[in-house]
Amino acid sequence: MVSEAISDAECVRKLQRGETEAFETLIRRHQKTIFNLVYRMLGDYDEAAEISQEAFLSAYRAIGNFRGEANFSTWLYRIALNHATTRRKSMNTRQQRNLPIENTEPVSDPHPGPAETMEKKEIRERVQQALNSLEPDDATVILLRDLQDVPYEEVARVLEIPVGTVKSRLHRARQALKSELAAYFYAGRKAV
Amino acid sequence: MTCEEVRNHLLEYFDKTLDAPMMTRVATHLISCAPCGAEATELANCIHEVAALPTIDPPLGFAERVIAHVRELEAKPTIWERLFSLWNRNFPLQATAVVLIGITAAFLYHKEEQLKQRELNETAMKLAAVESKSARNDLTPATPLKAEKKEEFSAKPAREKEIVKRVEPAPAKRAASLSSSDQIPNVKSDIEAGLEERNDAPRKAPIPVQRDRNFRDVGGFNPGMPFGGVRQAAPWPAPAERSLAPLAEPAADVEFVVRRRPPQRFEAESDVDSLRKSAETDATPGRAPGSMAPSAPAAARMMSFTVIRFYNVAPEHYDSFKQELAAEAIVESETRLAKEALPTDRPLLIKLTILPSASSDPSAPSR
Repeated sequence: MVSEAISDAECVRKLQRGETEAFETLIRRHQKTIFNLVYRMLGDYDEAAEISQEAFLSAYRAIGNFRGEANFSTWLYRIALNHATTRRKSMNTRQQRNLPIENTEPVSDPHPGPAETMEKKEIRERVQQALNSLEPDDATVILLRDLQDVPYEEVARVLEIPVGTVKSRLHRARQALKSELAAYFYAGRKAV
Repeated sequence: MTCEEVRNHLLEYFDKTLDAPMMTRVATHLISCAPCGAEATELANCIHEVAALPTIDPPLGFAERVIAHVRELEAKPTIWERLFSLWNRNFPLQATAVVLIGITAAFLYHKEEQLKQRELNETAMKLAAVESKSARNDLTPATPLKAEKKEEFSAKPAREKEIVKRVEPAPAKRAASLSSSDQIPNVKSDIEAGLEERNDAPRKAPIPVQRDRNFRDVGGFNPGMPFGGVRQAAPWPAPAERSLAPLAEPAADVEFVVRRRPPQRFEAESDVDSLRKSAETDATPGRAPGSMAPSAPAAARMMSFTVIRFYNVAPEHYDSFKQELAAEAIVESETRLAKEALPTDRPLLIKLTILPSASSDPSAPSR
């Protein structure tokens, strides 16, 4: 197994030389990020697992074309988001996306009370539903910037748009998300 | 600071990328302005809720499953790898050499067969050309035969005188002597050579009917060539009207009915002897003597038949032909069958009916 200490670029070079073990390192290093991004895009655990796997396999097949001009993570984000967007569109045509949040989500507070646990779970469901209802481009930019905390420049490289466009799109996406969540947050149920 | 300016700087405010004075001014406005404050609070809550979404672990064994798929992809050969997989097999060197030698030998053999076939075809074509040329020379008097004819007709007066000196000119003798001494050996050798060539040469395409008719001996059976001076084959291609009816008798321009002169005993005997001699001399081993030239009794028998022959004679030689005919046989009738004047632009077709001599034909009038 390739050492975890080596960089993504070195792993890619090894992989391009035919050392498949380097790809295992890359998978283990990026699987959680990619899976979460895809999961928040789709809102479905099994779909997220399948799409994440497809994204990694696509990256493996296309690793010969990766020239190292961008970060491997940026390149991998782009592949995963392309797969997720395609699947999200097909899911939207199949069914109205109102998927429940699975019970796989951990609760941050190790000793929450039952009411607090239920409330947090409800909030996450609402946020996920709001994300699902956004346009894929808006959801993507929010997830990359607000969930993954990806810098503007890298978001711009992933989406292949200028930084200014990323910012304006992020502002528009936040407004859309706020509108989606307004009914829940500000209809008297919970005042922030 | 206006509300519009504050809303334009909210993104940087949340990212904390504004400089300190601007951050203070925006914060002051948000506190003092209720709508802007509410807007900022709602946006901040959205950002917070999204960021607070928990990190979900991928399924157990996710990485292993992906790696297993990668190993499957590696193990599965691509189309090109499958296509070129044959090259990677290690065939024994000797077996490969044997196969290559076999293929080369088969190729060369096939090539040689083609070359042989081509050579045979070329030889056959040459033979056919030679054969047709010789046939034309034998059966159709081209320029040399014309010359021969001319010579014969021009030499006619002298010969006529010689014949007149004799009591009775013997056509049979002349025919026999000519056929045996001059023409038969040549014709025989030509025919033999032609037969051998034909046996050796591959089969050629059948001769077209038109060509066959044009070069065919219109007289049919040639009983010893009694009038040796005149070749009886069509010297020029037959006119179209003569070729239209293949089975019909050609329409002659002039028809002669002649009777053979009765041969004298000593001439007949000498003719018969010379015929027999020439037949024996020319006989080749394995072939019956006299198979090409008629035997003496056969020649004598032929003299007793009525023979119809056709001749193509150039108009300018028509008179010479008549003179020679009169010298060698008794002309009983001459009929011009063509109603118009005799043609001058093409050879005359002369029909010659040769009756047996008066001695062998009891129905003949005595002379």
